[in-house]
Amino acid sequence: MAHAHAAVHRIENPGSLKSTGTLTSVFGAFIVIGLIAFFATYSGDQQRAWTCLLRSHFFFMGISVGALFFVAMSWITTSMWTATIRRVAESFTAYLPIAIVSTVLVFLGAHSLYSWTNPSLVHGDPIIEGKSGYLNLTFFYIRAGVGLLGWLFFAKKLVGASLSSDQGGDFKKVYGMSRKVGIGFIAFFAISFSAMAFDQLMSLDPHFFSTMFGVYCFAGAYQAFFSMLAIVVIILRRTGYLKGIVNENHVHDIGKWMFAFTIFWAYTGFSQYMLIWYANLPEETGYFMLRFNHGWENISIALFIGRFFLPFFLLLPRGNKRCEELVFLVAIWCLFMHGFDLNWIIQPEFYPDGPRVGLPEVGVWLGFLGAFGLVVTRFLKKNNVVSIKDPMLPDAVNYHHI
Amino acid sequence: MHKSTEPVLSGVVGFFDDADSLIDATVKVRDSSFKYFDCFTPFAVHGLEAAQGLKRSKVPYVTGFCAFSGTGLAFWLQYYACKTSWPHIVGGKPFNSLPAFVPIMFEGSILLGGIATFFAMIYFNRLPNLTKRAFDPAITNNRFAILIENPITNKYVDEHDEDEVRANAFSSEAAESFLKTVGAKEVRKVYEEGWF
Repeated sequence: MAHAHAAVHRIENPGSLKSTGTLTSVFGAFIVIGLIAFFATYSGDQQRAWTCLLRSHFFFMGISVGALFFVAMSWITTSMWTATIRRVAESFTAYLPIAIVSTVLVFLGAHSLYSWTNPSLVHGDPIIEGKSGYLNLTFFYIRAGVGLLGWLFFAKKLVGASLSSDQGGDFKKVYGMSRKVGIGFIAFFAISFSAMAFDQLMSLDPHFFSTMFGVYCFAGAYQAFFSMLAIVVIILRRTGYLKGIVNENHVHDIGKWMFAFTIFWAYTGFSQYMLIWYANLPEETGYFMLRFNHGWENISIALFIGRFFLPFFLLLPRGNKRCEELVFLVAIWCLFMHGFDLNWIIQPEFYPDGPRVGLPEVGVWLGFLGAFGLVVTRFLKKNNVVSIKDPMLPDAVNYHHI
Repeated sequence: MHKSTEPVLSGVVGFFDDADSLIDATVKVRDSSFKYFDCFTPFAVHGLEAAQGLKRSKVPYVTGFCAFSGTGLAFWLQYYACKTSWPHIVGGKPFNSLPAFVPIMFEGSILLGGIATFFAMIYFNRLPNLTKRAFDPAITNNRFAILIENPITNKYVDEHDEDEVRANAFSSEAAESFLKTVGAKEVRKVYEEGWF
């Protein structure tokens, strides 16, 4: 408390990541594990391999596009505290090209994953026939392509502008441009991310529809993004890169966001459930009937407790959000629960008799983690870990919570 | 109440021109022997509460307690109405339908938590304050001030505790010179008239 007023007036540029040799080989090993896990599963049980792929693909795609959403939001709201951590969020968007590759992989598995791609199942089913104008492979490819290329375009614009300011670009111009592009991105993101969630996850059960589904997936992905951000920022702080730049006030703020989106996830999840429970329409309740029977009911309860109750009460007290170690542990837990949540969305459609958790699930996820880690370390090795020319940085470093 | 014709000295105020020098001075006043003091600023100054050595507000605990009470009360209200007192079948749902109760339980938490926050804030801020007046209009405009209070006029000092009062015997000269040493641009006495 006595040092709380000691203001930092000169900020040393921490530069970029220095030695990344070990990290690169660890993440490389993860990718090899992922490839082995995928192909070993694929040779035995094709469908299970594709479900593992879809889950891990959506997990990391959501985090990287959530990062882009956060970057856009911090430009639009002119938020000051994000100046210290915005570059770390920008580094996550380096994964977007890999998300395009993984989407193509999902296309390859479309016939195993999506029953509406099978004409013999569509024919004679009035509900799916009625949806065939939307749920057909051509339009499916177009939507995914437009969404991903659009995200890539906005990421190039927003992140590129921020990086150019490090090289001495005019920050006033960077700011004005990023604000406009950011607003455009938010509008594009709302539609494209909903379409991704509808196409890739909701259409696993082509009879089911829920307008909340896109928001539900966004809430989960955005919370997972903040968890990933907390983990990377705390590691960078512990290894000395963000020391003196990120302090407990910034950890507190990331903790608040995690807390807020824990609640928002529960809110969207419950709103979706309650309306379906009330209306009691057969094509909607089918989704929840699958998840409330044959062992899945325990998973549903565990999901609610693990993804809402635990983080809610762990992040509620102010002191907990300011405790770096605790935020780190809760962030790891939230990432685990995000994977658990995606599993809960995907697996019951294929295995209504109970969940499948084993080496394929963990292995394929590790492979994706390796790819994510590799591109993020590569980005942070090429660029400064903090947006050093940001005029709001001194204020952001020195700010206090009241 | 003090009923002498002499105006009672309620404290000594020192004025500062900017927030940084106010915070530096506040830390020194906090660490001095002057126990009763307060800061006045035209806007919220980040880090001032730490410099003053203020403890965390108790309001969040009141909010938390009342919000969770609200959750419970709202559940009880609906359970009593829908199951015990007047059981009706609505939409083929069971009498005790938790999904239907949850929105009201949520609203109950917000309502009770919000109202409790408002009243707890009023209480812990010692409001309503009908007697104290601003001792200088500049503190709402462009100046920053530290007021070292005379413990006698502070109604939160226990007057029956003779030791306490003696230990905090107030010397306006000491307070004035101390405020000058910590960098006050202008120092003057504040009397009960115009302040109380």
